[in-house]
Amino acid sequence: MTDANAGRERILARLRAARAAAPLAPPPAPHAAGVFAPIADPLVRFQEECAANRTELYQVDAANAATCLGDLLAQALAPGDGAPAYVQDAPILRRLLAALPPPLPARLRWSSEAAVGGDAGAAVTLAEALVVRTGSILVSTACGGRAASVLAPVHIVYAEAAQLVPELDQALVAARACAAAASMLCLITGPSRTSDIEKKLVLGAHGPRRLVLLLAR
Amino acid sequence: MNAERQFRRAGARAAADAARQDFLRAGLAGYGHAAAGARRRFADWSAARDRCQEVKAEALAHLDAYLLRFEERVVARGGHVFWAETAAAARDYILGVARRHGARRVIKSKSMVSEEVRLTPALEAAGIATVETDLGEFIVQLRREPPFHIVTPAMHLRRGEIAALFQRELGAPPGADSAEELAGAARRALRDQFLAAEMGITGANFLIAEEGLVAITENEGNARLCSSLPRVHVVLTGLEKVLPRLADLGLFWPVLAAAGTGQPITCYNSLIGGPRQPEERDGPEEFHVVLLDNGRSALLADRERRDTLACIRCGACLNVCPVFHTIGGHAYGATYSGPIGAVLMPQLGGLERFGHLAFASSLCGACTEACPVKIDLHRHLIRNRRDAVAAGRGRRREGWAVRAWAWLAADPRRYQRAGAVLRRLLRVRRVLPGEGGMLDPLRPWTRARALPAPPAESFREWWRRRTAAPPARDSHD
Repeated sequence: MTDANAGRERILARLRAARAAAPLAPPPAPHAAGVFAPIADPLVRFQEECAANRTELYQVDAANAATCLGDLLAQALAPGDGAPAYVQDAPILRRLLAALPPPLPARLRWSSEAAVGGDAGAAVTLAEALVVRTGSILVSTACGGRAASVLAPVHIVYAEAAQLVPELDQALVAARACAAAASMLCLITGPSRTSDIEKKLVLGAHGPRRLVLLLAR
Repeated sequence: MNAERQFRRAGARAAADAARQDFLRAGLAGYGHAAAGARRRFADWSAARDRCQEVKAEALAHLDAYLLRFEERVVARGGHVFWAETAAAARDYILGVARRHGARRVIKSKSMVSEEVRLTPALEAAGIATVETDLGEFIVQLRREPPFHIVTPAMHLRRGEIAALFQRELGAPPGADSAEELAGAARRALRDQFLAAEMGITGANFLIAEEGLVAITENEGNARLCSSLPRVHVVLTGLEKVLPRLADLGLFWPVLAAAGTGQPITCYNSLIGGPRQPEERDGPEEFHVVLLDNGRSALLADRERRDTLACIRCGACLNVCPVFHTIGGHAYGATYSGPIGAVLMPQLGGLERFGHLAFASSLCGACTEACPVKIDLHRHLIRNRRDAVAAGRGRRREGWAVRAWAWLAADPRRYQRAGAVLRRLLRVRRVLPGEGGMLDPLRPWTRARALPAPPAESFREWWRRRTAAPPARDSHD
């Protein structure tokens, strides 16, 4: 039940009085049609958008995905500070990280065991969908929790080329399905940034300085 | 001093600060370039604006139904929705939530509605430390001044000024004055605040009715942290920010980014539907949405002005406004500045206090052209002028001047002769000493500007001379 307040009834009465006589409008046509030009080559366009928004994109296959992820983690986790990497507990990520060389395995924290903390050196998650038009990554709370993809200084995403959708329209259909279970979703486009000081672009304002996407064929 | 006098004084002072204006214009020129690039990403920008206008009109036409739907969905996920009639009701509710949770520290992400209801002073007065976390907001909070611009709050400050501020307030080392170092200093200073705060407060860019989601657009990640880490998350928003469906964001996200900052899409577009769900490991235990009316339902009933509620607060009208370029955001003395401020403030804060803002416009229409949801801004400015004059707020001198001009303009001969007299007077004035001095009758203009040289001939004379050479004379002459 909502918090009972008399203000609610008074506001609603005023809104109702101002309401249009016409019935609710039917759902509109998908927005991309007519507003955006068609995309010629989705993969090329996705690469261009990622380059423009500073997402580091690595295209991998089954053979080198684990090595690539291991190298990125070794790079993100400096040997000195002992900062852990928070990893979404998903079978594919368990498999990719199974052969990680020591001492890195000791620094992994699986999302089933702990929520991401302020000590995070990196976060590794999956994605719900990838958007070609804008080079964006859709995540939900299912991707390691709410804060995983924003608290760590490096966010590494593992996704498959089959998750690419051309427009925001399709990503929002996916989001709608996720929203039934997830309390938060986020469409991420590049690493955190600010231009608040003399309009100069600085990466890593409050969120990750680096956003790395491993795109598996 | 009344608000109008204050506005005139602050505006005149800002208009005389040429260095600050150049700095501001350079920043806004960068925006103009980026925004033009972002618009080119659309195959048909004008079709996108038309659709945005239609979607917003539909949302406003059935606002009650959409808000009830939104509420139903949020409540179903365990969230709370509070309908605040006034700024005071919104403040009291949020203070009550904070007290119930024993909150001592609150982190805030950017919200103009929180400025509108004066939320931070109320929390501070109750002994709750409240920290702005958007970099620009953090800077102006440290300076104890309001945001200069609704999207880029610290755009009026130079790097050196921010470096000095951080040295004084954060103990940052001297010499660390690059944008990277300054942003890094703020990141470090705020990280502990994020982790320690009991309550996070954010605004909202859109309320999605069908799915019951709050959409928050940002670049830095601070709104994500505010809505992820503390035990309680409160969203404070105007009740007009409704979109019927999630699918509408396929249009509104890129349009907001293009108009607001000139980006293809903003870095983080979050959708939040409630508190942490049973199977989730982090996120707030409590989630509140405060829907603020504060004059909005009255605007909805005003058929002439209803479309002003379609505003998505992108700031595009400020960025293109020659008056904003000249006087900046602070001179307005209002929560919302620029054209949208001059249109909205009299409705939200009273015609007596803000009726004068509509007169500070050349009615060039740049705002209307820039508005991504096609609000007829410059016509609303004219309507606000009409209402201000009808309420006796017009300036008598201005009335006389317009009447005199109308009398002169009614007769071409009279108009010509008056022009000739004026040109001669100006020529005489220019050779006399004391321009801009206390005795100069043109002082309101000349104290901060040089008087341009009057032309030797009138336009009419120039035209006649130009067209005299060919034999065919214009029969209209």
